[in-house]
Amino acid sequence: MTKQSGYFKGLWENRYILFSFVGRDLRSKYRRSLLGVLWSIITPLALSVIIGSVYAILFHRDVKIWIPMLFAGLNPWTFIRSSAESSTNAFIQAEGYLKQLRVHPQVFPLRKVCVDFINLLYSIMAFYVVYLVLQPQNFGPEMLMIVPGLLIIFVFSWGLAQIAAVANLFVRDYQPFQTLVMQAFFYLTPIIYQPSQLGERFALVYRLNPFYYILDVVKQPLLGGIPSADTYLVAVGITLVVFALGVVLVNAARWKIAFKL
Amino acid sequence: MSIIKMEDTDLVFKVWHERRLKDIIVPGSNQFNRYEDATVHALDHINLTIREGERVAVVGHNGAGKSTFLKVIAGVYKPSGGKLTVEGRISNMFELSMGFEQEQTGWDNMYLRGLMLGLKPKEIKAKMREIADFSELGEFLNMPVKYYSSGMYVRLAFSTSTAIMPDILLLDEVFAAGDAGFIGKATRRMKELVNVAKILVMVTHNMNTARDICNRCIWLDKGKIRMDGSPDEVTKAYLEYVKK
Repeated sequence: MTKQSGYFKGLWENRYILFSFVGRDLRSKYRRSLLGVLWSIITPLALSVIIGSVYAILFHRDVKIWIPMLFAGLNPWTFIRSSAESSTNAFIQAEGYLKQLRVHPQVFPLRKVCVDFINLLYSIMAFYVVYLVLQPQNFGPEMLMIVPGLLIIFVFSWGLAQIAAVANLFVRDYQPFQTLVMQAFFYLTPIIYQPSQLGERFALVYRLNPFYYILDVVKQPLLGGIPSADTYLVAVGITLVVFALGVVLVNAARWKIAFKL
Repeated sequence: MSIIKMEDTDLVFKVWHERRLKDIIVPGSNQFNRYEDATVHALDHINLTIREGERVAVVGHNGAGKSTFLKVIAGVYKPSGGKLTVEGRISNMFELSMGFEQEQTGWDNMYLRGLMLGLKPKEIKAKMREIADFSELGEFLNMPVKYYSSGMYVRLAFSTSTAIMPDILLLDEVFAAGDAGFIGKATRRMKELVNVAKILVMVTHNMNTARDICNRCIWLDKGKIRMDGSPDEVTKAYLEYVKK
């Protein structure tokens, strides 16, 4: 137990380093770009309009309902995917620090997750703008449930990021493997379709899918609904397991990281 | 009170054999990478105490464990056996082009390095002017460090690492890339640091540096201390051994 609590103590000691990294990463991400941070808003917006229009035309869907629905699922999914993706080289990229300075390695996956999380917040702002135009009647106090939802998805992605960072350090095959698995889950999770479209026969596809629950606690409040208590229970359970596994892995690898780089 | 104390300190690490699918399917296809999973005994049961006021030069041929020795003191590697006590604020410089954010400016890197050396944001901000003056980098500090020459990296890293008034300063062969003027200045600063009763441990291949700066010299060989004494004595013995 002392080992795991040292994990959080280390993060606290290095908090200024973390803030500094995240601030600079965000700034350098859009360096020399004219629109800068607006891209965080434009990209998800344009994607939803493109995919939304294709579906509306091909499958005769109501754009007003369909675009927000898609957008609400796509944003959190992009966050999970991109933070897992960028964390695969969290330690590898930090070689210069880990091999010569006394900085705690747990800072580095969190750095990636924080940067992507801030992008998620931007894209959620974009979502609200679109939603306010298309369906203002759905705005209400229920939407505040986005706060616990974001907390859950943040901790979940952080856990996943730590697993990715450690796994990829030991076996570099992890990164392409993860990309493939995430692509598969993109289609297995109701994002570009609705759960009801799967029918009773394939309902298990999403019911057994951890990502479905994690996405749902963000997606529902975004649209103005409240997820069921069961969904919360499952989502929190999965999150705790994934996060604990991440912390244990990083701790177990703590003194091997510098040798593996 | 700063001190470095090693009691039976041991460090063994594994070097993993690079395995690819081809090596498994076609035996013997990897002609130039024949080593098996090997263990390297980088530090072999070392007993040593370094006290305040000591300026220690570490000499030895390549692969003797010199850099590992510093990294263990710095807390980058954890000893696999024995006991290690290090008291005092440590500042260190190892591979010099490492530990920089290439896309960020010299100022940003100075700030970040200060934080990593254990300073609070306020403390490092208060020192940045002074560090910049010492480094003499001037306008270059506004540029991303990816445009720096190796000498400029040395100036930035050395100026930052020594400005925090460390109790223990660890250096690994850093003067290879500074120009003559800066080496003189850096040498003076190191002597100053040691004068306020702090510890210096440096790895060097330059016997003159060892004799000029240090008052104690350790000769490492295959992870063991082969000789420990005054710089004159040890460097002489080492040079004689190298000639043979």
